[in-house]
Amino acid sequence: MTIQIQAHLHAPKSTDESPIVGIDLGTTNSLVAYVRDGRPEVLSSRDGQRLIPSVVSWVGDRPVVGAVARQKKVRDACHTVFSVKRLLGRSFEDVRESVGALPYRVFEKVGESLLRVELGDRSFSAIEISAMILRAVKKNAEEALGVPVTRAVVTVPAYFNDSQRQATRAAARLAGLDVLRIVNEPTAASLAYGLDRKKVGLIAVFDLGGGTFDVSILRLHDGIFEVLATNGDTALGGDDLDQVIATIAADEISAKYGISPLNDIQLRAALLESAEALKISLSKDESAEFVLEVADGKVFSRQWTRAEFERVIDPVLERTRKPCLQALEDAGLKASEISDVVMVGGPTRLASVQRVAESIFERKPNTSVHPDEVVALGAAIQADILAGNNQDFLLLDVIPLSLGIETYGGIMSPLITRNTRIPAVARESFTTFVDNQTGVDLHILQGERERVGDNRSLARFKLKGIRPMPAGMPRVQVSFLIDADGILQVSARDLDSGHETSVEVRPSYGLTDEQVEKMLEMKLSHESEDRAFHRLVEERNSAEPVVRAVERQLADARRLLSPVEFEQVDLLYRNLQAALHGSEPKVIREGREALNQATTRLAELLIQEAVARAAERS
Amino acid sequence: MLAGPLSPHLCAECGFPQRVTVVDNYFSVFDSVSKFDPDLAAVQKRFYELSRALHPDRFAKLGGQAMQASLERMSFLNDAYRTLGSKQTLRAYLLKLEGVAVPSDRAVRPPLELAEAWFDLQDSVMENPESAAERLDEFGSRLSVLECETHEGLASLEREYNNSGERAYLERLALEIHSQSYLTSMARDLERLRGRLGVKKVS
Repeated sequence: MTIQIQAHLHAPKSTDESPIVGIDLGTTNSLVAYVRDGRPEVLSSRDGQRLIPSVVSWVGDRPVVGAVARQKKVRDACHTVFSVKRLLGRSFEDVRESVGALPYRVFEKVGESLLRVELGDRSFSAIEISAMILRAVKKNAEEALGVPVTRAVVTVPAYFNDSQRQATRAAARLAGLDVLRIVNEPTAASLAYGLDRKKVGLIAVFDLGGGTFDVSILRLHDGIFEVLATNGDTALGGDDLDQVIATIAADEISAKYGISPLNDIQLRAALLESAEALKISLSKDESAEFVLEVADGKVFSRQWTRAEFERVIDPVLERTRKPCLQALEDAGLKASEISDVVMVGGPTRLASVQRVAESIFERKPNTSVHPDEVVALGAAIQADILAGNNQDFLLLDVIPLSLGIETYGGIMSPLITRNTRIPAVARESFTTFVDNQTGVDLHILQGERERVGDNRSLARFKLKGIRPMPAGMPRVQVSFLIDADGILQVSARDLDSGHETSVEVRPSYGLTDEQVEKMLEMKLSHESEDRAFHRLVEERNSAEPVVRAVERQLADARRLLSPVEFEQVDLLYRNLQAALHGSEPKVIREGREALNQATTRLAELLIQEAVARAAERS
Repeated sequence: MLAGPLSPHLCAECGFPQRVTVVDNYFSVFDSVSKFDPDLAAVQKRFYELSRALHPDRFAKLGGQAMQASLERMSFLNDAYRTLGSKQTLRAYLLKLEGVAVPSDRAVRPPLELAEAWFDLQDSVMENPESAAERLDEFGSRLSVLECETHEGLASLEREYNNSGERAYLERLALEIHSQSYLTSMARDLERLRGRLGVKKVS
């Protein structure tokens, strides 16, 4: 929890003209976008990739992120973390039910509120893993823009609570990014949707991502994007659809082979991968095959029709209905009053997802926006607004969950109710119960339930420095401010003396600012090292296939090339092999290029031979 | 074109949002008269205009004190917009603004006759579950009629105040304001009882 007592909220930034990018930190993929000449665009990495898989893997003790890590998801399952966003800002208790299905181990360290992910003999918090992803995103942006990038707008699911928002912000800080604004994903999407249209009307944004579901109802009016209500489920997404298929396949596999793929980490990862592939195929085709190599030579395969697939995922998709109806009710609207339903997120490509949305809102959903990119584009537009370049647009957002304090008898007493426009403030007076008491404990909660235990505990804090007086005499006014990021700030004042009272906070599931700063210091000293290492891994990844290909062709090379030519290829092959054992990216690159060059003639000869052989046969 | 000047909200010299002071109230910020049926379309238009000028997003570049002032003023504006948007919150706010004391809702009890009818109903449905649905419905419609009457009663007091500006109407309103709350809570209890007995509404 960020506690600032009547202090400045952001350091003055008026002179900073460096770019502010928009980042969509997704469960499955992350993207970065930027507004150039008034148009938002997704920035591509050097190799032309727009989506960075939100996957982190390890090579030795070094992290690698993105497509490189994704390739290791099955091969090196116990060192590869994906969908970490589902763990961000949560307690072990929150995720206990879902972690069993993950190939990596999640645990709770005694004495710490943060859950950790185990990788080999090391462990990391979800914040650290997310920071690694954000660092890769940052690097991407820097390469694309050619300047250092230190400021960003980062999106989060609208239904993220305070801890999850705080954790996202801490991760960005760790990655060396100053977060100018946390924006809700569906709201960001609406900005990109409304970019060209200057529309007036009521829209619903139906955002089903990899791991989270959000629905937001907005009124668009002459460049104002006013959120009327938001609802969602932070544990519902495309991953759950994969999970359904994986569970069925696991049962079928154990029935057929007597092997449970859930007992083996690598097999479990492969199972999820195959399930995801099946889902993607069935979003285009009427039928597809689920294939999984269960053991040496044993390949399980099974044909799925789309109808069958839709039948099993339907109960999961139905879970989107209740949040949508609640959001409509909170907005005071009927489904028929909505003029457009905007579909966001990869899984909304599925026909059955579109059908569910259609049945809830009684109209054909609008699929005109790019479901993977629209959130990042919207974040870039918000970044442009904050940079002062866009005076036409303005987002008016709400807090998704009620915020309150624990009162006598273990009851949650709401101070700011859900769907209240932000920024928002609530003030409450507190007093003492015994004579000369100088401190008061407060417990801050977020949620919609009556009993304290059914809500999310955000923080406990202590008002200190109250002047010793008879019980009930002191009057301490506590202000709860929800800033434009949807993050709570607390300040306290002694009403009689006018003095500010100090507030000491223990976040329930997160890092304190000091912890982040400390980790940041440690991180900075490793940064250049990390960059060099990243290059090394990239070079190794591109050189390894070349070495393997040449290895297979050495016999052909001896047969087809002149002895001098062969010696040359053989020498370069050995050189590259040696370079791969070393740690010089430049040497590896040069070695790969030289070997490629030297084998062009061999490749030509092999093709000629193949053509001649084919001609002979016919 | 702006519906009103920005000067009460933005400092003409420094361009920072003005701090919220005692002279500001939820009506004045929208240049609206303090009465029970404000022109909500005009309020919305003004809210959008002021948001454009005062929202923290407009001060992200300046940061510091400008941002702090913007957070404060925008929070106030948001609260004002929400309060004016609902009949119930508006009613409570206007009474408070005019300094009319509202008795605590704990002190307000339903009329004896209604309370007795409610207790009788609970006893009788436990004893004769077969006729429960009918009796619950009967009581339900009695509540609806009462709710309608109370609502109309409060609304007419509000109209009278709007026309005359006489404080006496506010004072009467304050006394009757809780009759709605016990009716609402009774209706909720009735629904709970229905749920416990597993009885659906007949009509």
